[in-house]
Amino acid sequence: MSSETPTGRQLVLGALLVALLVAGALAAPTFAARQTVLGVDRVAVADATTEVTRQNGTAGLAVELTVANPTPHALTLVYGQLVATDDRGRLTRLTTTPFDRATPVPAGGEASVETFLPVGAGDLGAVRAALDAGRLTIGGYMRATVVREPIDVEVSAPMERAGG
Amino acid sequence: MSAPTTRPQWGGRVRALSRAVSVGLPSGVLAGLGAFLLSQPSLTPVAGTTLPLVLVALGGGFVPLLTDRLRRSVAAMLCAYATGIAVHLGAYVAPLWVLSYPPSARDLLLLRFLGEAPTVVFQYTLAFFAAYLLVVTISGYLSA
Repeated sequence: MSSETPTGRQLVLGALLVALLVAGALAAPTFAARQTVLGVDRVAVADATTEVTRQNGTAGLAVELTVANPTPHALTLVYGQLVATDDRGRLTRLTTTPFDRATPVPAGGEASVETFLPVGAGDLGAVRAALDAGRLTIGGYMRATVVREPIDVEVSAPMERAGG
Repeated sequence: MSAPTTRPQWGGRVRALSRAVSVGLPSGVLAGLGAFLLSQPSLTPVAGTTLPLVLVALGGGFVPLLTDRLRRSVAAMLCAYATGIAVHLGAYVAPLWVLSYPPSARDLLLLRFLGEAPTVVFQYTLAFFAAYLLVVTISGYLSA
């Protein structure tokens, strides 16, 4: 109606093309991010090591978790809700364990986070024994964000000792 | 409606339909992507619902600019409106096939998604028709 001249029509078509490209550029990462949120069960701990250490005067487990993200969008690990167990039960209290910094895990890539689980003095012996026998498991979940959406990455990682 | 006498009419209808689709399809894809972005407020690269609504409005607003008569613009607009909803629904349920769910889980989630997806249709409809009617009104006034 208002584009009766050929140049006017070309301008409108050009503007429509630009708008389509902008919409596509926004929709493609959104589509990928949604696959990450829906397919969060594919995000898993690929490698886990731990050792008994002392941090700020507290004995505990220094845990390093490597998270593999096979989904098509990056996510950011923010904090963990982790607990160490052996085959008889819990060895640490379920604590919120913030990571040193929010750790991005790229799409199709891996990233590691380090965290510390304090162990009560009475449980230290049991933790050491479980670790030496290969019966120690770190479980719980890690809170992550995809763009601005919070998701939980489940953790259930049998432990090897750091450095062997 | 016997075949021999209506043949020329059918040719006209096919032309009219293809004209409506050629304008309605790209505009509808634009509006549909806007509706999909509107339905995922926490996953869009840009926060806020303004940009998705602008994309939906552009989808409606481009239709009268690309057609030369009110009748044709209405046909193209209806095509764009339906295309937009189809694109939105398609993008919304597509992960069920992309992520290769087991069929039983897919059936359950499909029902859930088809229940969730239409929540943006009200906003989509408002933005789409507001822009369409605005452009029709202004261009009608200017051409009179």
